Amino acid sequence: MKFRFYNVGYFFRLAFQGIFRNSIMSLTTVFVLISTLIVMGSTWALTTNIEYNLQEINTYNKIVVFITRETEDHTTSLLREKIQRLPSVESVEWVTKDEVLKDLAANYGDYGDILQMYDDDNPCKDELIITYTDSSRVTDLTYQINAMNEEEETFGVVDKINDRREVAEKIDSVKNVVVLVCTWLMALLFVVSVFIIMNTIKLAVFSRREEVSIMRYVGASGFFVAFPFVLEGIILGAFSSLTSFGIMYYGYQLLSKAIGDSGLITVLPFSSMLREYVIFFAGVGIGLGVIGSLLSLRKYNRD
Amino acid sequence: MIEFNNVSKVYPNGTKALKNVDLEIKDGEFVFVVGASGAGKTTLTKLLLCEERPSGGRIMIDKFNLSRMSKFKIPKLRRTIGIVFQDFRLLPNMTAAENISFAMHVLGESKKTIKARVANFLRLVGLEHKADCKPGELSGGEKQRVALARALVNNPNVVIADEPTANVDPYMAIEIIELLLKVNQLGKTVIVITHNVNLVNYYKKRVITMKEGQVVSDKQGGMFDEV
Ligand SMILES: Nc1ncnc2c1ncn2[C@@H]1O[C@H](COP(=O)(O)OP(=O)(O)O)[C@@H](O)[C@H]1O
Ligand SMILES: [Mg+2]
Repeated sequence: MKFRFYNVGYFFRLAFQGIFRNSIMSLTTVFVLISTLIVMGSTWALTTNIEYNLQEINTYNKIVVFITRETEDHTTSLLREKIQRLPSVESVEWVTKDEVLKDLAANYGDYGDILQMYDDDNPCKDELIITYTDSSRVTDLTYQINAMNEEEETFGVVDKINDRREVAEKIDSVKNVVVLVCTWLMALLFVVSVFIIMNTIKLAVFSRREEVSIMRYVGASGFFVAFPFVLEGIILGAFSSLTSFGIMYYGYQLLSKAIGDSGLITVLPFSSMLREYVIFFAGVGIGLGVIGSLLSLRKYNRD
Repeated sequence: MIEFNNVSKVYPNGTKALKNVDLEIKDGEFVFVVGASGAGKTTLTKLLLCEERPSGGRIMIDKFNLSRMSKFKIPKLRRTIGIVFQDFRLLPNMTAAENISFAMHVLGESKKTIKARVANFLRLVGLEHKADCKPGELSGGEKQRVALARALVNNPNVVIADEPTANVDPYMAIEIIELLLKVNQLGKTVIVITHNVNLVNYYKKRVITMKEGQVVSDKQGGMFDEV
């Protein structure tokens, strides 16, 4: 068969005819496809953001040792030297309670002034901030520091040890659950999408069965017979991609504004993921359309 | 050249529609195929179009070996065969001209070629004045002539008509056979399946008689066998 430009118009006309002739099936298809894409898109947005925030926490890579109040400076200094000698410790920084209070005040911005009233009776404690080289050694490190707390010359110096690893691990396990649930949901929606598209295209073939039968009798190529139906799947997929992209875009803006305002975590701007989203939505939407329609034509193309 | 070599066809439900059929139809021949209902005539057509595959034996149409041809070649085979059905099978929402051009269009012909050929073939079947009528506005005979034009428009080597006169009046039946004879004179092989005793006896062409899936007689200048 020779390629003719006017055939392209013909293919599109047939595809759109198919979509509007069975409008209920087409709407169902679009609805299911949009749901699939939005679940996928949200999962992705969520994991990307969690990943990002985790990384931020991990870059601290630090253990904070709070020093018991009223400890003599030279004892604190001794503890610092002891910690410094431990393997996988890179550096130990000593932050005095006055500096801690100043940092806090700075972080609270306008409300910082309230902290002024503590000037005479600082509630903070001195901190030793430990930077380590190997995060797998954190448990060992905290164990060793706790042991120092039992040793004679630094007895009872350690008030509390804080490592952020626990937070990181908690977020990480939440992320894993989210990913697991969403993966299953996506798999389910994938199957449902393909199934719905298959049925939509089957119906389209059925409503044009007379034409198709004539086409086959006169020897139209498999491509010529099948392509309008595949195109119908592609159009449904592309339309769903576009719509769900729009929904994702506005939904993300709204949510990120709400979450970002609370200041608890950093929300990545949508624009940082824009390119991936475009490729991903177009790919999945159109891909599902093609797979569904090809599967529905498979049986019929056999003879 | 069409050749059937010891061909049999058993349908999945066990019906033996054809039993050891041997046949040879040369290029440019005109043959009637007759026989009682259920004798296997339509099965013969389906095998020629590769709609069904033989269960045994060998079928050749020119260089196509239908017994083991890949399904991807089927469209190519079908472009060499024009088919006319008893029930016309015209598309109801298309005009006569559109029904004919549709057959060319789906083979990717250019608009210019389509326009010229459709006009030619409408003239050949004597329906220029009905070009813009839908099948609902045509008589049985007219519908069958549109169907014939559609079968011819892609210039096939073989034309098969499966009971083309069953749904048209006797006068029109003669006209359709006359048209098919004209097509035969243009050099095409024509196979006409029919029940019409008078027509067969009148034209004295080659007659292949089938009975219960077998060819029971095959005569030049034959008559409708009353067996
Ligand atoms: N698709 C089919 N499946 C099963 N049996 C069939 C099928 N088509 C035809 N037959 C049977 O095969 C036999 C021959 O049918 P057919 O070729 O249509 O006969 P004819 O056209 O001569 O009337 C009949 O017994 C018919 O019932
Ligand atoms: Mg029949």
